[in-house]
Amino acid sequence: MRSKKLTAGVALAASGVLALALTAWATGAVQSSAAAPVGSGKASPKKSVCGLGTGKKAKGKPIKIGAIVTVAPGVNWDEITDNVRGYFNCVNDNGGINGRPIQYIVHVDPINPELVAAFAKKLIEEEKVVAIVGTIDVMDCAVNAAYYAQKKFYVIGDGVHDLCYGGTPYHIPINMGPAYSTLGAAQYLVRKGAKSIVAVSPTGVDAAGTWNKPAVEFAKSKGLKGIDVHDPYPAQASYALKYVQLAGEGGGVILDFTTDQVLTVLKAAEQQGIADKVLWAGSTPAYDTRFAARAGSFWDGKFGINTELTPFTGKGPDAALYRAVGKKYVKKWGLSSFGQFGFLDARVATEVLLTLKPSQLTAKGVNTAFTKIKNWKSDLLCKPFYSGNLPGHVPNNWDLTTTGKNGKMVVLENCFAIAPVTPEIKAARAAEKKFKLTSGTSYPRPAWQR
Amino acid sequence: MLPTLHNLVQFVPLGLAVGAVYGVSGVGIVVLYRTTGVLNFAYGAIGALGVFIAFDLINKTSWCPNWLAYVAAVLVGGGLTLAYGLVFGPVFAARDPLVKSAATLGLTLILLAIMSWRWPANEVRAVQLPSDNWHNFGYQIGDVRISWTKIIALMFAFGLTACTAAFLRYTKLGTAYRAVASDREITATLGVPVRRVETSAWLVSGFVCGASGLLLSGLINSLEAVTLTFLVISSLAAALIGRLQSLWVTLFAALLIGVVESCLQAFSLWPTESQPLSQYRAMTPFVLAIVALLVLGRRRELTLSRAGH
Repeated sequence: MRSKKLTAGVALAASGVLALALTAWATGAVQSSAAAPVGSGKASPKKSVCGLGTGKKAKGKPIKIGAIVTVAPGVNWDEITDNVRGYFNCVNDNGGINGRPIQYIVHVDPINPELVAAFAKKLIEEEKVVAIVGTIDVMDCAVNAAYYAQKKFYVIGDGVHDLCYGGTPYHIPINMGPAYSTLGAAQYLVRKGAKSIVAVSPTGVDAAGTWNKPAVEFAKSKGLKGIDVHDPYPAQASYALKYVQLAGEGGGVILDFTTDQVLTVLKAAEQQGIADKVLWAGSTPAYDTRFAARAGSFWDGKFGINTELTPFTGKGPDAALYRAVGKKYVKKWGLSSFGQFGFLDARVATEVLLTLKPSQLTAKGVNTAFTKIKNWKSDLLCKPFYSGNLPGHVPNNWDLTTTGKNGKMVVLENCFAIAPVTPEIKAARAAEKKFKLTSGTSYPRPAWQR
Repeated sequence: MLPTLHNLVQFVPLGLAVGAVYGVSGVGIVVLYRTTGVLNFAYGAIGALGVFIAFDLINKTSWCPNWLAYVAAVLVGGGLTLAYGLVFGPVFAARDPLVKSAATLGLTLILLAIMSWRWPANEVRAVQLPSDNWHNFGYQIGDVRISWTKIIALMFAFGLTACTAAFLRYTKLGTAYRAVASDREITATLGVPVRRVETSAWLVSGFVCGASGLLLSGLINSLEAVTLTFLVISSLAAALIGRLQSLWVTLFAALLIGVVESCLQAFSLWPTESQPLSQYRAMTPFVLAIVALLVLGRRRELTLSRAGH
């Protein structure tokens, strides 16, 4: 008797659960629990997906792609390669490169030129990568340009050294780099009425000591005092006073440091009551959710950050995909320009790989295809990206100014052209016009036209 | 272009504040060395670890009030130093001071690795002290406002040095410290509990270490393991100038190092913009220590090995 009652109860409960489940399915209420995988779906002008967007794991023979990244005390650029890896993982979870997953190999350089040279050889000769994507290294452009020329490897990554920007055909940077970003910050300060420009770059990382030169030249071209300063990690309050004294009342100070280092200087200036004596700006690394969260209300709108890509808070499809990929695949880092660099490096490389036939997925095939990139658009870029088989590359030469306000990053100035104060920028703009690199048919084609 | 006197003077209070922290650490280092013969290279790393833990308590828990986190930073400094002293003190007791000191380098590297692993540079960290924000109660010197944290650092350095000097001179335990410093074996045969005396020195030195880490992180508005760890260089230089004996000389040497380091910032365009004197400010502790040792060395020989060892 008791057993029958129990059976009846269990049956009733099971029916109830089944009925509820059917109702939920019919009304779409279960959609959230069975949400589509990140980066999956059909690509359209309003929706970006990871690679093919199939939502199915790629299981074929891996395609090896490599990178070299500088990680040293105070220099943690693995944020970029972590974002490259995150995007590739998303591609692998969405069908890979026509069924083949990407295997991403990263070598860490503690700022040692011998290691940088050895890593490039290891990647190409031992690990047999077909491409180098997402490299961000203090010395890679200077040390490995000749080797890449010999092996015909075109690196899609992010430059640091001046040679990455027009000095070699074998580095195609998606970022603008510290020198031009500092120049953009100087342009912002001059527009704000700064009476002088003090540009500060980090010694050790600014290996050639040239990052501040375009900004200083720009200041001088406007009849202003321009001072080129190189300092180590500005860990003491005296650095803030030094910069303010150098700039003088109403002058402008540009900090080309990472977020934590920028905040060290800004907080010291705030505490000493000298912050409002000058105008402040920084280069791209401070475009970071961590800046807005930590700077405090005193700095609302006061620190203009030259930002090499459009805001990660944007409504465009690539901005949305960057946030989604970051949330699922790159949990260690917040949203930042550096994260966006890695995302775009991986995204453009993936789009190129998807245009190739299986027989072309070799080092020769992939690197030849990299040289053909033209008028490739993303809502994260002010202007289309290209490589164009040029003797040197500065494809990212427009950007914007942002700032922290009420704990969030907001836009201060929309996209503007970086001043053509160097022969490399002038050459890039001339090539864009001559070869129609930012207009006409795109390569790779947008995903929805693939 | 040489700096104006007006500009130069403004760097002095900033240098005094940082120098005070060097001095606090230097005093802790000297007390430990005088008692145990150990020159603790891990001083900065231990202080840094305490501040990282305080950061987590403040930012990653909802139950811990800030004052408790500050206390925790000091306790971690004391606890960790004591633990090291208890475990390795007896093991190295009979060894040359150079061996004892080199062993603390191992601890430094272990702690640096732990901090890099547990607190990677993916987050912007800083531990703010309440005194950092007492803006209206700071003092204006020239164009620069001197926060209460800086004033407290200076007061703490002088207070600590005076108290420690008085403690060593007038208390029984202080006399025992000095006796152990003079000759450990003879002191032990006189019935002084040498092990207990040394243990207390490790503990006190550790507390001072935790406090100096906390003060420095407040002064530099940043929590960065390498910077805090290498704080020990300036403190060691000050301790060497004090011949690892004199607390007051150590303190004043530390203040001098801080002030010179800070004032060199004013020479950012002299003698040339491309090679300014300010580039060499990091050399300050070494240069001052070498000059002091050369001058003092004419009068008395200084060696890391103490008499009888």
